[in-house]
Amino acid sequence: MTMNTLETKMVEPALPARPADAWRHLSIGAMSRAAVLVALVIFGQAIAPSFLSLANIHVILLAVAAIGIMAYGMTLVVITGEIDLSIAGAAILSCVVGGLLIPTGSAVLVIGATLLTGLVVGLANGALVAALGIPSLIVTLGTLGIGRALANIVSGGQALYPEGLNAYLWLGRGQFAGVPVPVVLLVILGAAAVALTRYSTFGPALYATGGNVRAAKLSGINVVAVRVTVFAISGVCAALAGMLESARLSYINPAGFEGMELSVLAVTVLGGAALTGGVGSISGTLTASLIIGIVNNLLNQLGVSIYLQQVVTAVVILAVVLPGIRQREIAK
Amino acid sequence: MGAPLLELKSIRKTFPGVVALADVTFDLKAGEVHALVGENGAGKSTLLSVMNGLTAPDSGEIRIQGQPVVLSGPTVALANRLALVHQELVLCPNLSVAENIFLGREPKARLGRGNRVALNRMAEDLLGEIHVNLDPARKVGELSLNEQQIVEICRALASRPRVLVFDEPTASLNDDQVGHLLGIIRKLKANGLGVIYVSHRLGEVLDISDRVTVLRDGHVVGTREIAGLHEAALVSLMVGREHKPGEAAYKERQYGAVALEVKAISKASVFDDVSLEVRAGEIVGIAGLLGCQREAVARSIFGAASIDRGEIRIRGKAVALRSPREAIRAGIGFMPADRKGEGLVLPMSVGDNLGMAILRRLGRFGLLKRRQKNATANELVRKLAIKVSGLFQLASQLSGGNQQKIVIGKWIARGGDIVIAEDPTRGVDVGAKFEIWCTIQGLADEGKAVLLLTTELQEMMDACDRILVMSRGRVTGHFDRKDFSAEAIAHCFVA
Repeated sequence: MTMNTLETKMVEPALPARPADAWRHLSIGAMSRAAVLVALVIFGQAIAPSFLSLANIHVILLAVAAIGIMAYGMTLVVITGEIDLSIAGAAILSCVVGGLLIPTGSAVLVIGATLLTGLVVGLANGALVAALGIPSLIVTLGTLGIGRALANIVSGGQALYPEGLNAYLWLGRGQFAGVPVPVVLLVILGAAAVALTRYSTFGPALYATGGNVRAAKLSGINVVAVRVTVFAISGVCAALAGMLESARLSYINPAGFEGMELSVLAVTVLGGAALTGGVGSISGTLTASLIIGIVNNLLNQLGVSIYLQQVVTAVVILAVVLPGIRQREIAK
Repeated sequence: MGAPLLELKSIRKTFPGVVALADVTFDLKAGEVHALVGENGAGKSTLLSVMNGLTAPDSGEIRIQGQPVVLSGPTVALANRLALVHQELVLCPNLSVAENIFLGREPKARLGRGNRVALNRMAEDLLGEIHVNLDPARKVGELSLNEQQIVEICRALASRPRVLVFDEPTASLNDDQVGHLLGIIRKLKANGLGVIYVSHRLGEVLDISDRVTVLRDGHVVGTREIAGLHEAALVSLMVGREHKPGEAAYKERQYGAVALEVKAISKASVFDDVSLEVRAGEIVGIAGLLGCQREAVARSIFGAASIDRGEIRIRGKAVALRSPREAIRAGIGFMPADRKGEGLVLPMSVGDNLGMAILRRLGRFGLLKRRQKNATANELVRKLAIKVSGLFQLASQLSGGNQQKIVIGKWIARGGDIVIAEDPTRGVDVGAKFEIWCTIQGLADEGKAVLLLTTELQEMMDACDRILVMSRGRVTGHFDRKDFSAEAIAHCFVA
């Protein structure tokens, strides 16, 4: 009898694709990120009444736009179980190569060359990692150095000034419907990345490659293409982010973005991506960049020294990441 | 004799949407072997992880020699001298056999070589105890699955436990090795240890145990003395209905054209001059002992490994399959024996795993047709009776049998007409085994050509139309169903 009732229960019409009580299934990591974000906003408003003013919100978002866009690319790479340490090199080399075309006076050429260079660096990373099987840590550490060195060689170590290129400068300093352009791009690219990871056929291939590359291969997934794609996207994101920063500052600094890869990696990990691959989300990464942006904004407002800021940021990352990792360990 | 070595009282554990253990009471006396059996998802794995301190029960009590304990982790369990031999191998492939056995409890000695020699000697002693001849200095990564299992067993023994839990210890051992293992367990029992023995091989359970506890859907159906218990009675306790052996039995089919033809393929120092053909609607088995290289042949057919010479023809056309992707496009599906390592993406959902081989078909301009994906997954879950709480459930949260069904479902979704199945029932319980065999027979009934590699010869003889035997990389025998005989086939194992 019991068996019968069980069997009838099993032939329910259709199984839910998502749990009915979805919030219960949120990972501890996602919940602690959301909680920390809310707490920071409340705390911020309490200590600085101008915290939630439109101007300050723009300041916060502008400060995280570049790091957030780079982190989208990094998140995709980390989901496949790889790492991209070359982003600062890719960003600076792309900006310098683009900058060489400033004398043409064509913003389109400069922007195009910048993004194309980022793509080339990304494809090179992807090819070396996926086709030749060299660990991405080594490959991208190499391209980081090469990118920085080439940027200095090409530019002769001199900063480049995109004067008169209004379209270029607009990317960093302009507004679109009253919102700073980098912030608009952060949102649009975030939406695109969410679509890519959750609503395209690339998404499952991406998570499968990172979750179990052997199973992915034996299921016919082109893991080489997946890896090359994520590195290419990361390269373009880096170039774009570099360009936004250069445009905002109105000069291309061949020695810029020092240590950027680690900040971006920190945001990615804070966002719940696991360096072992197969786990991570764009929404988590975006939340994480907001957390970092707000922490830095508040510390600035409180006049805390830059060194102490780094300590505080690191503590926040550990505090948010630990519960999620513990949950993952227990789940095993 | 005092209090039992281990007592579990009214253990309850729920996971989101599932009651894994409802009210489980279990005890183990010194000097007894107490078997734990149950179907897929009956709660055995959860109960074991409660015993091992990996899972905290929602309620209930655990007593060790009468003392209530809280097992907050595997190390606490070990400190209470309760050791587990894992079903899944959790070894470090880059370390030696001896280093793996004594991992975390290396003898504190001088640094360097002296230590290693001592370690190797200790490992040799342990291996000797279970009559296994294995070089303790070899790297575990070089060992076969079955040798790794032996290392796993030695590792548990090395902690000199009072309670030893065996979780499917014989899943990848051959009959000889099983015999040795059971011998060891008897010795351990004579020394006053308590042994908890989990196995789907009921013959072994009846052979080695003193008592057996049957779990079904998180409840204890009963605890029985083994004396006087028959296999059929045990099975009906497990599945809750009369078990009809031979129910999975094969029925005669009409064969179609030759779907897969392998002509004299060779790979230097792996296999040599292997030929076989599988017709549509036919199940052909490759039997052989460990090291007969039938797995290598299967992988070469699937394009996952290269061949040096020979030809593979699919539906009469010669093909050069350079990768699994090309093989899949040619209509071949492959179910690997190592479900967790090669069959599934464990951190991914059931729905995503089921759709993994048909991503291209599920896309429109690169966008995922979610409704179709969910519909396909739902249909497979229903067709294969996969027990899940939803398509969102992670593959890692399922029992072995349900995981295997997902691996099969992935290829049913793909719909190719050639299927290679490697050990589809490894570590799977009786009920799920039956369902899996029915599914595989169903594939052949639909006209697919099935190439089957299993470790259990009896199961292979039940399922196949023809059996090839391999030994040391060569085909040494060929049997039609009417000529199947375990003796004759086994004779070819060593030919």
